[in-house]
Amino acid sequence: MSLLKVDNLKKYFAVSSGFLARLRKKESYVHAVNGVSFDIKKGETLSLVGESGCGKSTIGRTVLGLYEPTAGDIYYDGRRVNDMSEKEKFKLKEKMQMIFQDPYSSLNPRQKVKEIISEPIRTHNIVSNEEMDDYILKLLDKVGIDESYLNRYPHQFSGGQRQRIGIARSLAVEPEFIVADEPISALDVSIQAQILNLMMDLQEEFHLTYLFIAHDLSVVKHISDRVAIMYLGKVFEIGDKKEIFDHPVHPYTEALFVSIPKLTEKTKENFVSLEGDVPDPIYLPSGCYFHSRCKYASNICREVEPELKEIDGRQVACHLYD
Amino acid sequence: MREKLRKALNSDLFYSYKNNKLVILASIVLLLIVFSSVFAAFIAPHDPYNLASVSLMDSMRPPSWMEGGVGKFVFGSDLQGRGVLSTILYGTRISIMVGLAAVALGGTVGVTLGMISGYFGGKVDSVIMRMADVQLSFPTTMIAITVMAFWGRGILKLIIVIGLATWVTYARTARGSTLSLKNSEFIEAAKLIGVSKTKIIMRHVLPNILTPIIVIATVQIAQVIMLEATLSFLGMGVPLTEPSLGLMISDGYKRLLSGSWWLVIFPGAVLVMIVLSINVIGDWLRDTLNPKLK
Repeated sequence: MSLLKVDNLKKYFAVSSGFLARLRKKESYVHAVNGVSFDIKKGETLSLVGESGCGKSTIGRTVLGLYEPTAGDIYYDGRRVNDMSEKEKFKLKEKMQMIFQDPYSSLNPRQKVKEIISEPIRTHNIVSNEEMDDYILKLLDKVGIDESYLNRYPHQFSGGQRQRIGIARSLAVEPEFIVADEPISALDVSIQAQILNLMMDLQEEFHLTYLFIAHDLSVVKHISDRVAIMYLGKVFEIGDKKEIFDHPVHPYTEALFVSIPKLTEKTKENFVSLEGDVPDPIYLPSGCYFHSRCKYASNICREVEPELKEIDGRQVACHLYD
Repeated sequence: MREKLRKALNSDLFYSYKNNKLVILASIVLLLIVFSSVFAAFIAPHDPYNLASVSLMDSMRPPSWMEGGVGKFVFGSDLQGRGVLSTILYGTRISIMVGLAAVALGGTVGVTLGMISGYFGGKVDSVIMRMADVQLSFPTTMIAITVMAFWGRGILKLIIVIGLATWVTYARTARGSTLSLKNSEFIEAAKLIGVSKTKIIMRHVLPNILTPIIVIATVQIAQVIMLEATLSFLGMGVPLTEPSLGLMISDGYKRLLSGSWWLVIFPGAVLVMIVLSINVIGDWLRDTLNPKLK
């Protein structure tokens, strides 16, 4: 049984248009997410991978309710989130949390560590006021922050430490499901592995389910159980990490994996970089969104949008395999 | 306590203060004026509001070092026989009180509306900001004069009118800062936790937009004191029995050509010193607290 199920999710953002365009009722939209479906089982890690601007973060934020979906459904534990009452939605916030990308803007600079972490505890009455201090100290210990730092302000910490504090805040409500929005991409390389390992340890200890958003493929390989490759708000390929990393099927996945720098092989000789840019998400291309950059593109690719189909133990959206 | 003091002495703000002679001078002048006006009852030679202590026999005395001056009236006396020095001390108290109270009122209203406007956006934002635009298209002084002309004199009325005539400045700044803050990840984190909107605004937005507000408020105190003086000068401010600096200047100005210069020069000088030192401090605060200039 899947913990989270996303069905044909769409999210468009209105572009603020000029006065004349509004008079003519011509509003344009950024098509951030264009019909994405996936599910995540309890305890597993699904990674969303793709270039910047492909809608990964938008999916994460829509799943958590920060954005209202334009179309499509989100089910948590079998229940449609949109059907829930305000009270149930509030309760749901105890189960779903987020780890943010930028540890410098994800902590309120005017709050002490203690205040930052006590806010979710107070809001959801996790423990009584007497037990609060013990509870906070235990949390800090779990993420590796010394208890003597309780009364410090965020600017007195390094990026890695701040990220740990952010993780402690997310864990304070004892969530089951966590969206990690590029949690290590803003950190120093030396710190990245620490935070990644911390997240994996915590996953084991608290049986967490992760939706991991990243563009760094080696990180994804380290942490994921399953991987979804995204392009322009669509999932191109989704399946087990091992299958996809061992032999990518979709031309875009293939191109993406060639770009991983390796120490051993002489990659330079057979390195083929992608031509051109990602198309404008305001004016979506016809057919397969990737056809303008795909070296296998044929006429059908330009006209018909491919559906996700089961191929070699994973799902792929490509006309090459029709 | 001692820890806090040590921290304050080590801060960047104090360092910059220590190295700015003009600001030190301005703050000393301001402190002296504020101190002596707060304790006017103990310092002033007599109480100008107490008619029993005033005698018409003492009217229009020149300063004490001039011919005809008496030691009791160091800066001379006015037509009613009130000592200019005493009246200045009491009048400054009123000016400063009106200044602080009007800024507190205008600041509270302005910051609240500005944060609401910026955080919620949409129609709420449009309504509040159009109100601000309309008010801004009339000069503050004109609004204040019009309302006071209908409403009559009075210190409380003056505070309310000036406070509500100046909310726009705070609202615009608060709105702008809120707009740039509201998409930060820590606000998103608070939303994900389920913190209520009021609490998000009070705990997460307000503390982070205070710096520019404090700077504006400092400069505004000086402007409000000027506005109060202007209104009192025009006869629409404080009541005649409790003169502020503006009213004193207005009174004395009528007799300036008959040679009683002391009725205008002394209160005028005090007003200039107050406004100038607040402006110097305000400018310095703006420069030091602005991270972009560091």
